[in-house]
Formats: sequence, structure tokens, C-alpha cells
Amino acid sequence: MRVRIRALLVTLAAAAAATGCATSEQWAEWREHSSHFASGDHLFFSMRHQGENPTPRVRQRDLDEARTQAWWGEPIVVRPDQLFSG
Amino acid sequence: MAPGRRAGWRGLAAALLLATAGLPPPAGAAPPADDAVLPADEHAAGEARALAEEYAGELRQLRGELTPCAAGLAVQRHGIAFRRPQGQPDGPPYLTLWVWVEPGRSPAGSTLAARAAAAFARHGRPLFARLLGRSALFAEPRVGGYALILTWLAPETRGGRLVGESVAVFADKVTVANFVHETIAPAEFLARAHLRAFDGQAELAAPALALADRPSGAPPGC
Repeated sequence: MRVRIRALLVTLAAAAAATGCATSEQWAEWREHSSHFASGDHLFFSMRHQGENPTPRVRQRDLDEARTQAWWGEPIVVRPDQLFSG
Repeated sequence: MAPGRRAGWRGLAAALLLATAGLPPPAGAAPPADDAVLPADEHAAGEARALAEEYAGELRQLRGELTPCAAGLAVQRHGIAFRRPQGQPDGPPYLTLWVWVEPGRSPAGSTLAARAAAAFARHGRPLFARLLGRSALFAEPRVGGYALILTWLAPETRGGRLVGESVAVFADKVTVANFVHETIAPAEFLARAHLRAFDGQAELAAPALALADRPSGAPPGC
């Protein structure tokens, strides 16, 4: 029983740590979709960019698939309101 | 339900939770290219919206001219528009073009400033020429100038997410015309223009782009 409680605590701590890393934008994006990834291609593309700041590897095929499969997960890029007044 | 079975379901639930917590964030590869022109009703009320309504055909033609360039650049969603540069809320709107260059890779250079210089050296003049080519807008006194924003993939991801680096150049129409027609050197043009650079959403203080006065020999962008 004690082992189970310990396992549950570890599980909850891992979940809390993972959710704590998500920004409000990421949460909103996640809630907008019924699944975490748009497709298997999207999953493999995201997996390829895990780890300690790996070099992006984006092939033309990825760009085409992102468009046709409507992948989500926007790159971090300057916002229009940082550039323009209106 | 038998205790052993219940424990099994709990174990499965915990495993699923752990697996979900460990999933990477979804990473998108590129902005959609279809809605390149900001709709007139989404422009700021006043002059910008009036210009967007009056010159909708010019904006569409500009978009059409860039279609053959799809291998080398992609127009940012709503990247073609009339917008006022930040800090000039009462100034005239600028004809604005925002593009992703070198889709899928990063320009050469070890620093953001070096990559910005490489991107601008390749794409700056040809894209400003496209903006200048809309002669009805050049002649339109309500258009204050041109803004060109070049964005590209940074050489590293951050927290599993791709990062876009950007350089934004704002200049009045005469300065752009002189640059396009090569009556002023790129360095002189940048000295007269308002230049900003961003690492993701973080702005670099006083970015300096080292540009050669003569073409480097690299083929110009579209």
C-alpha cells in the first residue's frame, strides 16, 4: 500500500512538473484541439525537436505536411503588436 | 471489482498520465500561406482601413507577384497590409510585407545580426522593389512608407518549440526608391531606415547589420 501511495505521489509530481512548464498560450492551444498532435507526421516532427535545444530539421516535406494536415504549435516569433501601432 | 483488478486499472491510469505528461509540445513547421493579405475590416479603423478597401486589388496583385517565389519565401499570415509602425499611432500607415525567408532552414551566420545581414542582403532589395513596384501606392500621399519584415528559423529550438528570428526595416518612400535604384548603398539605406531585430519575441538593443556595398555574389532572393 505504501508503495502504491509513493507511486501515486511520483505520478502526480511528474504531471504537476509537466503542466507547470506549459504557458497559457500552450494551454489554450491544447484545449482547442481534440488530440495532442494532428497526425503521426506531426508527432514525429515534434519528437525530432525534443532535447537540449536541438538544431531544427525542417524538410520541404514537413512544410507540405504541416499545411495539408493543419499542424498546430506555432513557432515563437515576434508579435504584430510589437512591430505596429495599428 | 476484485482488488487486484482495481489496482491494475489504477496502474494503467497512472501509466497513461505519466505518458501524457512526458509528451513533447506540438511543434508547427510553417505559417499558412493562404490568407496572406490582411482583410480590410481587420485593418485599424481610419486611414489604414480606407487604404485597404481602396487598394485591395493592389494588395492582391502584390500577393500574386510573390507566388512564384514560394520556394524561397512564404508570406506570413496577414503579412501584406497597411500598418503604422509602433510608436507612431498618429502617423501615416506603411505598406507592409512580412515574409518567412529560406523556409525550413536558417540563413548563414553565427549571430542573429549576421543572419539578419545575410537575409537582408539576399532579399532586402528585391522585396522592397516589389513594394515600390505598386506605383499607385507610391503615388498615394496617405501611404507614409514601406515596412519589410524578414523572419527565419533560428538555428536552435527552445523548449521543444521552433523559434523565428526577425529583422524589421521601416523606411519612407523616397529612401526606399533610392535603395532599390541603387543611388544609395545598403549601409546608407539602413542608416536612414528604422531597423529592429528580434530573437523570438525578445528585441535586440541597437542591432547593427554589416552589409557590403557591393553584391556578395550570392544570387538575389525573389
